[in-house]
Amino acid sequence: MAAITHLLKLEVPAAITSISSYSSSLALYLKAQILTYLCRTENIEEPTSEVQRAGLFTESEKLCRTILKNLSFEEEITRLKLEYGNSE
Amino acid sequence: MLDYLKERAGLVDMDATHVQEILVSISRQEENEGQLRVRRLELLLNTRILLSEVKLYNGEISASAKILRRALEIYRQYSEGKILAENAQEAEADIDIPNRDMGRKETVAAPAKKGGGNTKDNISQSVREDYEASKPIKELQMKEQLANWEYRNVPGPYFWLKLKTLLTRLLWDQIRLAEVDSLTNALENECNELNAQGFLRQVLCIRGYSAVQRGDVNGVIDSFERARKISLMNNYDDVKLAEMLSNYAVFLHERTHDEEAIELLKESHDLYN
Repeated sequence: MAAITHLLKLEVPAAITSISSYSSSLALYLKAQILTYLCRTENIEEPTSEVQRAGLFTESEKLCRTILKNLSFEEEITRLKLEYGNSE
Repeated sequence: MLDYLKERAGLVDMDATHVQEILVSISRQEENEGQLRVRRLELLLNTRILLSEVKLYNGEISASAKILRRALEIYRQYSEGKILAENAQEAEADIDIPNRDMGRKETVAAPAKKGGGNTKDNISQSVREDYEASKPIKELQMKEQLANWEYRNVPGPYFWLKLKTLLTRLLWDQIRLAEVDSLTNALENECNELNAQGFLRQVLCIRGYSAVQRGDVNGVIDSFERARKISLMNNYDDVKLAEMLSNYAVFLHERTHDEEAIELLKESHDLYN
């Protein structure tokens, strides 16, 4: 649980976010994946309750939705840039 | 290529050395854009796979299958060039949309008309003529599509196989055997075309499990033996093989083939160690 709490507190560093939307999405994806993995893995010494587990899955889902939104937005922007370039 | 790049850059009269530099820079930029697009689309698909996993562990199997179907549909549309960019609003909202039965359309054979072989021959003749007539148009369309970089830069076909295999496995969990059978048949052909032995083994395992549910003894033995052969040929001695062997052993034990079952269990045990 300590690992999960620590992971939840982690924010994507501004240095990564500033590079591109793809980099920050990748960082968020890794966070979501580790979170899902930790929820799935049973820790015998410190078991996660069902309520906690559901909350963590919701958090992971939220991260996935953010990634989908960000990436498709970036895809749209790139598309528009290319179209604008072509018309020029 | 040079003409295309000249047109793209809008260059008319320039110094030859500058033209070359600009052309190189444009082609590099396009390559980078293409690679970035592939990576973006791959991450989009991977995120959808993760989301479906999250839904699955939350106990929402239907929602999980829906997300995978949506991912497959989007991948198909991207590769056919039907969509060039997803709508950001839609991408976020598509998780909650009602099931549109995407990918569940089964091809229903047209009812055969009664009344002799002449009609049948006429129909097949007209179908053949239509196909021959549309062939050059289709080839032209394909060439046009391939000429645009947007259509070329999509994730590789292994993503398609991965998504489809996951969906098949999920459908098997729901015991939707008719859909599982049609998907495994399609997947087997695709795996053979791409020589994707790893995916083929997974598909054969799912087909074996499906045959167990249906009580098709020959189907089970054929599928598992083929999967085992592929594993041995390609050195896929992993946990999945061990799992398959133990399931196969249980099946043989139920059919009172205890000696073979014991051999398989020993093999499976060795793999786990």
